[in-house]
Amino acid sequence: MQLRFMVRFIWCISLVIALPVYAQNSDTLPQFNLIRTPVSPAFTLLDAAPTAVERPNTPADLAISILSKTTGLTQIPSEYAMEFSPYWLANHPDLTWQLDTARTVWESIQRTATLSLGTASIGDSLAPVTGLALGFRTSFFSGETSDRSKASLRAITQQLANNAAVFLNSQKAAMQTIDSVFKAKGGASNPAALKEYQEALNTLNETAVSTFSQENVQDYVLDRQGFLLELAFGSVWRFPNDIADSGKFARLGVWITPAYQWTDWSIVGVGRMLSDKVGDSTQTTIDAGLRLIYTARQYGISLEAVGRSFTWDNAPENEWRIAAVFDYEIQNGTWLTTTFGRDYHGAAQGSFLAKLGLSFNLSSQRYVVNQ
Amino acid sequence: MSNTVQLTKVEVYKVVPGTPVSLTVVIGNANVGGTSVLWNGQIITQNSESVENLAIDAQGNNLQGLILHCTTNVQDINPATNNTSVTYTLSGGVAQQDFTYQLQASTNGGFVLYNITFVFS
Repeated sequence: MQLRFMVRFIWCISLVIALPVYAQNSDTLPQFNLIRTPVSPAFTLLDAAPTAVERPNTPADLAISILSKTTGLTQIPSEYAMEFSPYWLANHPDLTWQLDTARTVWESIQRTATLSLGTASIGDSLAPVTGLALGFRTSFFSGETSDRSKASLRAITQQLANNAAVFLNSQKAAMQTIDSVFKAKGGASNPAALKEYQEALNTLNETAVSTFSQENVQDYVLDRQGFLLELAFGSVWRFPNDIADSGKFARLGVWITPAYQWTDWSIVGVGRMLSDKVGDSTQTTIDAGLRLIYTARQYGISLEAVGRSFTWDNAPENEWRIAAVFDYEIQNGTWLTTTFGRDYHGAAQGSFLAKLGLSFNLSSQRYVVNQ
Repeated sequence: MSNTVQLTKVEVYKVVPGTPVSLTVVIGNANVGGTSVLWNGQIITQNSESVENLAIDAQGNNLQGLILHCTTNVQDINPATNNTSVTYTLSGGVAQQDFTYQLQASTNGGFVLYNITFVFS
């Protein structure tokens, strides 16, 4: 154990000496991730990172959220973020996790479709402007639940059943007493006794559940393998001085992310088109990229290449970036990252990438192929 | 603070004297869950992926007036919704009957305990 630690320590020190060091709190591989299909296209297009996103789970929650934030549909809120999945607003009592392991194209589109809606103040105090963004995201193909995930869910099923038994056992004596009282009062043939029985059991369970711990249930793993294809689009309108009739189209974004995920290897493509209205003209930027990833328990290696082109008159030259990245998890959630390659502006100072840094990522998955 | 919420319901199911009853439990909304039942003083715990046609007193005794307590422990693993759902299907009585319940987990990865009591009449 000590030898292993020493090897790690010496390796880290040697890299620190060899390379310029940087540290950051977010993913150190953002160049590729920044252009892939976003989870919430509306917020990405608004350049907004809302502190609170409303995620209604039912049609009633959705209606209440919209009506309350728009004061009964009479005004546009200046800071609002909402995201919901139309399919999951309804209850699906027959859809077990086993039935969701593989999906047809239509099932995939339905089950992964989300709509995002956001507003933000994008002007200043002298020229207030409210930005309104709408976004849609779905997966045409979402692969299959991995064998690792299936095994994890089967193990959790047993743990949940065992915990249910522990809960029942803790209530057994009290329940049998309540059962006896119920039977003595005539049982199901006595409506008043039935009502009292329901209330007594509810009180018993409500009290017990408040202190019932399920920390013994292991973390679940949910990943999918095979072919994945995500598509998203969204647009932004500007409303100067918050005047409804002054609304103008400001931005459009389209993303597509095909990927193939094996157990350890994955290959991810990305395409993004962003169109911004600048004055009377439209400036469109197109990105395309590819990333090859290998992940092991404590490290990951990836090679990424991204190209960018601009389509308007007097636009900058096309750009491209290529980088190899090696990540090593020093301890849980702390990653040492080394990057080598060429940044977008090859002729500029600092475009040769040779960096070493620490990043903090507490997610169980360092590389997420399907989001 | 516990990240488990619970639902308690009492239902009446009409049985046919001398005919055994069977229980099937389906966990919906692509979530995961396990079930235990208290029957005749004994706790029976699910030891497979799902509860399908679990025989309640296969001896053919008269079940009228007896009580079956079921506890299904569901974990919300579906990142798309916090809604959870459980359907209990009882068969072998006067008619096959589905009892479907739904409740939202308090958080992603949270738990919902469905405590459903069936009174056989």
